[in-house]
Amino acid sequence: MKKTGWIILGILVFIGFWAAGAYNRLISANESVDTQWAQVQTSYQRRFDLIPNLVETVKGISEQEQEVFGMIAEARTRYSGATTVDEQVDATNQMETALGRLLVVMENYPELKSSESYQTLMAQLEGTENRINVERSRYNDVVKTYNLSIKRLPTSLIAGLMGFSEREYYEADAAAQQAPAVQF
Amino acid sequence: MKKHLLIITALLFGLVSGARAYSSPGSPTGYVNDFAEILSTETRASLEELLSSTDASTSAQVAVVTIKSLDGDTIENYAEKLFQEWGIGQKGKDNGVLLLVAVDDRKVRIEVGYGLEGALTDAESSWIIQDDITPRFKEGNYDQGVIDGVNGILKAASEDLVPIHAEATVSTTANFLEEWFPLIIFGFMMLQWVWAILARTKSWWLGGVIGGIVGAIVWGITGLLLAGLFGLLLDWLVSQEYKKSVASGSYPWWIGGKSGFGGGSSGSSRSSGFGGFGGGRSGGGGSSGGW
Repeated sequence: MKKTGWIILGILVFIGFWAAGAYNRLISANESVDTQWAQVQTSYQRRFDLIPNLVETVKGISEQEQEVFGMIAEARTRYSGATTVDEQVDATNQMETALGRLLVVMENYPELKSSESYQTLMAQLEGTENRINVERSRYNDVVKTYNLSIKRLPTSLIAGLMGFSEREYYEADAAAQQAPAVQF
Repeated sequence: MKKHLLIITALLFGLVSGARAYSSPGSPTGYVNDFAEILSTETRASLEELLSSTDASTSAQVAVVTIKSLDGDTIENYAEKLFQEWGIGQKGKDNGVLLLVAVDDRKVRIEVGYGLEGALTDAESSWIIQDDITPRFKEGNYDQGVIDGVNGILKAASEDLVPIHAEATVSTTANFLEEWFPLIIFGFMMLQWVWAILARTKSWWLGGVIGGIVGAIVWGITGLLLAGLFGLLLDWLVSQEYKKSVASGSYPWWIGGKSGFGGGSSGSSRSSGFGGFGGGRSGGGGSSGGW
């Protein structure tokens, strides 16, 4: 049956063609997870750059809040020393807790809040936090796309064969979910 | 500024992520989309003209959107989602700006595309909202507030333009073509070859099966049905044609031996009067305020 042979060959070539395409799509999806994580890091860096200004503003008013300044400094050191994503996430969570405390401290200084530089700083901080939020949720979106594609048939066959593994979602620290009681 | 503190605290502790209720207000009909109907006809017309000439001549693509209510969403999330959906700004330059007003919530936001973050900083956006927009809104003068806001945005945006993400976007398009061109050519050759086989086989269902398999692989269930039907029809047609050709002795080009061109183009065009936005992106830059 020469004809059947041709048909089988045709189907095989199609499968090969598809497999190459699927593999490339997985590579791209995996790459975009990394790209998006870099975007998250860029927004973190923005926050780290902003925080010294914030600390300076508070220090100018009060030298008494040493504990909070220490926490922030420690988180910064940990973040710059972090080599894995997990360590970065840990350091970031610590930074967020410290930043929350700093904001509570600021509440105690009405003379601080009325200054123009403080208001500008707050606008910048707000923008930065919003960027972090946006980039993080986009990170989770691309991770979701990637994870779905390695789990769904028929791409999952290629993913299993070529050793693609699941990527982790960004999840906020459970402790950090508890907002401190700020009296506004 | 208690407002800032509240927003920052909410963002820091992930309170915002709970409320994600974005629902699209619809497609853009121009640079000014007054869904809440708070602007006068003259304001709309003059802003539309101003913004379309800005888009044509210079750096920024500015969209003004007014909506009645956020429906429980935050204005930050709403603005980011809308910006993404409409793709405000030119692709690669990401030079879009969205001025969003939610009337019932009494909230306003300036969302800035990646490319303009250097010119229209968060602090600058915040000043525009506090100094130009909300004082007018408090008086109930939406027209003047929006006009002053737009002027503030254009003034800041015209100072310079920093296309941060331009390189990345351009290179992916180039790579895509480079990478896929040989495969596309190969695909056409394959298509013609399969076509020839299908015609020679007496069966008329094989095309349906092959079409269905390919369709399912590429597009899932919808593809299975569509491509399956298409393949079935194609096989039937080419088989009929082949029978005729065998009888008459003259074969059409696709039977094999010669190569030919085929294919079509799939394009989607958006039909709106102003030609649509350009596919720009934003990353949560800008500022919000209320009145």
